[in-house]
Amino acid sequence: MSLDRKLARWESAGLIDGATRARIRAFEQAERAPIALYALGVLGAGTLALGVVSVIAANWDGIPGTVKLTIDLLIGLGLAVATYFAVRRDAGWLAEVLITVFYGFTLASLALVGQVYQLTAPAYQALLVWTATTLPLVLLGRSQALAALAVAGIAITHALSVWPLIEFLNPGGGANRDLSAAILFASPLVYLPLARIPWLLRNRPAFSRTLSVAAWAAVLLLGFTLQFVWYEDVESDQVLRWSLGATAAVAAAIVLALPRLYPDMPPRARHGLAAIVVFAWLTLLAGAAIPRSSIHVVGAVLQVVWLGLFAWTSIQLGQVRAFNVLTALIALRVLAIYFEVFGSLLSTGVGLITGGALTLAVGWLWQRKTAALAARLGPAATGGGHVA
Amino acid sequence: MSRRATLVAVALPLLAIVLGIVRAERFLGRTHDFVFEVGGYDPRDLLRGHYLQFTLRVEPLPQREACIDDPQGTCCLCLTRAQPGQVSQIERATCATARTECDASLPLGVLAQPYRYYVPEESAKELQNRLLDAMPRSGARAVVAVDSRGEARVRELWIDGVPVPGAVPR
Repeated sequence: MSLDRKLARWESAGLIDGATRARIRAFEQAERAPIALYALGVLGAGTLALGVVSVIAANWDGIPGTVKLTIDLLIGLGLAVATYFAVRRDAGWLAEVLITVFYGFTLASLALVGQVYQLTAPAYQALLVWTATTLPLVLLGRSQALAALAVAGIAITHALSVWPLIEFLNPGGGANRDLSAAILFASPLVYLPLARIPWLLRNRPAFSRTLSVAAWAAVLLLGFTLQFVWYEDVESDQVLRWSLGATAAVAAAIVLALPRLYPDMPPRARHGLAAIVVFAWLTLLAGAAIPRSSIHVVGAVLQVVWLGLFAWTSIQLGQVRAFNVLTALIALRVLAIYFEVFGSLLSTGVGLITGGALTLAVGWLWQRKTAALAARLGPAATGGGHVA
Repeated sequence: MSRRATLVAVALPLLAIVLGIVRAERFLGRTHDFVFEVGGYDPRDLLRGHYLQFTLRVEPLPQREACIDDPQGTCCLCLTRAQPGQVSQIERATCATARTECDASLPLGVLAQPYRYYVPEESAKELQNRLLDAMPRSGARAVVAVDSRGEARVRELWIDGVPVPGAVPR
């Protein structure tokens, strides 16, 4: 519901008078303007950078390679100088826009070098160079929009580099399950302490917050995907060995570090985060430590439990919108279970009864918890959105 | 942020671009050209957006001496330069022989590796069709720059004696 409609509703219900309504509206407008301006600036600059990438990708052969590279370097130099002065003069919006354009321009330029010299190196190498060399640049920015763009860049680079890293550490070894499990398990968790580096927290809170949210979102996604291990048979030569110890060490380190990473967080929310990390490791242990046949239903139920853990932690954090999204995901996963269990009449019937009961339980819990949460948080609910 | 930190932050991306150019130029400076025939790449969709994909083809591959043909084996390609425009002489030999007695040596794996050649967007489709047409007739050739460490990069692509736009000049 829009702010105007809400205010009209509150005024007609006698909760606020006309003057209060006008003051609230003016306050909210003043708060929103810079966010919209920054979002528009970064969006426009991002689009511009994407346009440059597209023009380069078209590989216009009307201009010789050396001329292309010279023009590219001159533009880069101009951008560097302009960005430097904008940042030094604390130019706010203009600085954010220039940083965003320079960020995208760097990737386009690396692609141009690859094109002019017909380099066939894999994409992840260029992305790694881009991400590493532009990290200090994006840390000059302060806006949420630029932070989101930079974190998306880091996430893509990381995702594309994981498999080459496994191959690099185990050349010619193919899919080494232990190495893959250890690297994939640690991948999102590594960013949790990185996002809470004191300098970042103090000077770039938007970047720190965005990186934290992205890291936990990656934990959610990977933990959910991990449960698909129950859909496969595990032969004796496929069981995990040393990676169970390595991942246990990573999980323990994160759990022990949580009070230092999030000192202001309510203890119950921290316990929720700790439970998430421990649960991820326990399911890895249970799913891949011994030879077994596939047990689909265990995977499906664990996925629901996993989403439930995140939903419970969201409540403890007062993140209403996240809680609502997670509840919807749980309902969707339960619906998917219906289709997974279709088979004989008996199994279909049992599956439908279980699924229906679970859906009702989710609905009941959602209604009960959100009502309680609304009462607890009152009008200052964080995380935005309606409770129900 | 301090002035120095800001300077470093804006200089690093430029440095990455410049180093990319310098590395590519240095590679060209220490290489020699060899001419290979070009073969199809499986799957046979040669056009990937704005570049053509293909493999380097040597069929049949003459054997200069016996060697072990597996990933950890001792087989290499022994390259000998030919007259300008002619396909280079390429034989299978032990890596030791290829490194000491040939003009250049390459790992055997380069024959299975897909290569890219960036082409202008507007003529990409037409070039793909010409390449597809020329390959069975041995009409497509790649000029490959090879260095002493066994690194190879396609520098030029020719279809029926006509150069494809995008060649890297020396």
